[in-house]
Amino acid sequence: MIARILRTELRRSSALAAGGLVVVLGVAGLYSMAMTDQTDIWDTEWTVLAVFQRIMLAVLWPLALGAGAWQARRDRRTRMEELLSTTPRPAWRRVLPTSAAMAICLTIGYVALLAAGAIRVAGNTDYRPAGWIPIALVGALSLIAAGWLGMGIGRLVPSTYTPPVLAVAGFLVLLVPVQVGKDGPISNISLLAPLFSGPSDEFTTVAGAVNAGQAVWFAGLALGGLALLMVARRRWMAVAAVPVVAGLLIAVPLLDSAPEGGFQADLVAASEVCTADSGPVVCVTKVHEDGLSALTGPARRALTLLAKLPDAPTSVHEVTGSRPGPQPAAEVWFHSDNYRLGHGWESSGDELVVRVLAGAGTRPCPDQNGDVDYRTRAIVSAWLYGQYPAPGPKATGEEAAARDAAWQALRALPADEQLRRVTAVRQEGLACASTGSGAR
Amino acid sequence: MRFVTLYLRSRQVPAALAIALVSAVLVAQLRSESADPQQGFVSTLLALALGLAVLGYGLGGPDAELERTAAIAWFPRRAAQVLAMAVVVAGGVLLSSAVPAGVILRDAAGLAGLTALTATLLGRQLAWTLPVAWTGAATVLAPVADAPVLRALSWPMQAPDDLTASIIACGLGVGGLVLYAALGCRVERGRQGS
Repeated sequence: MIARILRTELRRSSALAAGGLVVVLGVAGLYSMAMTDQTDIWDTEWTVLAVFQRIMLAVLWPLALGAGAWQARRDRRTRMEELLSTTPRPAWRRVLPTSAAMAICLTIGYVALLAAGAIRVAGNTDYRPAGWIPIALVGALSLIAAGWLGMGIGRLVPSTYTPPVLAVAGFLVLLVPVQVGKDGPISNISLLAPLFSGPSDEFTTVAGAVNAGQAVWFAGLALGGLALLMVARRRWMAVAAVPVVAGLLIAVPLLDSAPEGGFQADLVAASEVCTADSGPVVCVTKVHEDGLSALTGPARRALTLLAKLPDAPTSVHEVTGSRPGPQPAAEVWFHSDNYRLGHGWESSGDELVVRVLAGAGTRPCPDQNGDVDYRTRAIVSAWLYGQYPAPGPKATGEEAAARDAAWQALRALPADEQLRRVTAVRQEGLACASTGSGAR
Repeated sequence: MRFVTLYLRSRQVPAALAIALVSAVLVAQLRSESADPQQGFVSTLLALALGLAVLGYGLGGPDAELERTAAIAWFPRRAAQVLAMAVVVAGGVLLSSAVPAGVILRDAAGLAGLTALTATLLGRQLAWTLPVAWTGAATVLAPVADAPVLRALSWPMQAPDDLTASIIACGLGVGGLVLYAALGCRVERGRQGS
């Protein structure tokens, strides 16, 4: 009996429209980024897609809330309330198929949206972490919570103005804290909202405590909404506060224990994958494994060019900006920002050799002001490569003139002094503690 | 006078007006402490959408089929109602928001037209959907909108001197007004709302 009603609800209730809205708006949001070639903020990797989909909940979540409230008013809208209240079936049995239909449609919508994004992601990366699955599951759960909460509040306040007011309230709750959070320090309380404050990159993932806390919180919200729908008498509606408050009490300590903003470094993605043949070892991060073969040749040529330095390095390692220094003298560190998922290394062949040689095989190291001395890095790279200007992107304007002057000054020195200066640049780079982002 | 009173009552305007004005004024009070002036528009825009969404329910009467049989000139009355709706909400928000008046007036005109258009297409019960959804999507989309199409889609969030946004607002305002004034609210068969 329930199954047959559920089938009818799936076909006839506004749940179908709510799910369809999630898919249409979401897919439009994803692919509107293609107009300005910004799809790489979601299509590079699975975790990035899952997090971006959560950011899109800024629109989908309030609309699900409004759709739920709209659905809850159906009986009153069609003037069926009195008729239905004479039937000898308990209230919870009547609303169960409706709320199940809402949950099913919203979940299918969220999964279809994920699938639409997955088409591009699957073509861009072979790295398949499992960490994105909880992020997506919590997102789907939050959407169900929005739908059920909307239905519950719609029953609590069965006014014709409830759906629009609730949808706008959802937008306000989600958008206004985000705006505040961008300037001041981000409080983890804002993670009670289903969306994150910014997109992630391939080396970060959502902390486990955040997933757990959000799952508990949204489960509490969903159960609270369901309770509002199912209790027979209005005076029992206060019961709905119990799961919500319980979820809140469990979630807040969990969210507070997580790093600020909810993201943490993805150690698996940053772990190394190395060449196995007899040549010098070249390693890339796990998530950039596709780029290993393209890097191996240029990296080994860079190692031969670096051999003229005293205490020369013998291996090349791609590292992220967050990897703590100091860098071992036997290694060349190559910043992972030189790789773009789905595109490969920023350059190839000779240009890639020059990139590896930048700063004599060290990461860009910001000083106290956060500035990186790219000029010295480029000059050292050209000196090691033995050609100025070295292959690769050229500086322009004043910077080009300054580089020319610096190059002339270096070449005017005696040969052993030149070697000493280049070695000093490498020593300085080796001592660098950790860096932000920045290529070259 | 008697006609106006009865007309407004048949559209639940007294209650809706109170809800719309109070909520719009309250929401427009919210200020976000953002350095980006565009982000300061968010709560004001949502206030406009909320006020118009609530008043949008009054764009149709309880029995549209019955009303159609009345031998009165519907066009000016409907047009006046949409205009009054836009003026009232814009006025309330203007008093309580710090956003430039040009943005508020432009967006109120565009969103009022959109509300009327939605009422014509989907009926009075769903008249709130498009204005609320479009406003919400625009506030989220605006910070990343670089392409001309995306800037046009997030027209309510654009600066007061943005020509495309003004054209879209005018188009929606006039188009919605004329279409609604000519056709009226969609007849909702079988579901006569409360």
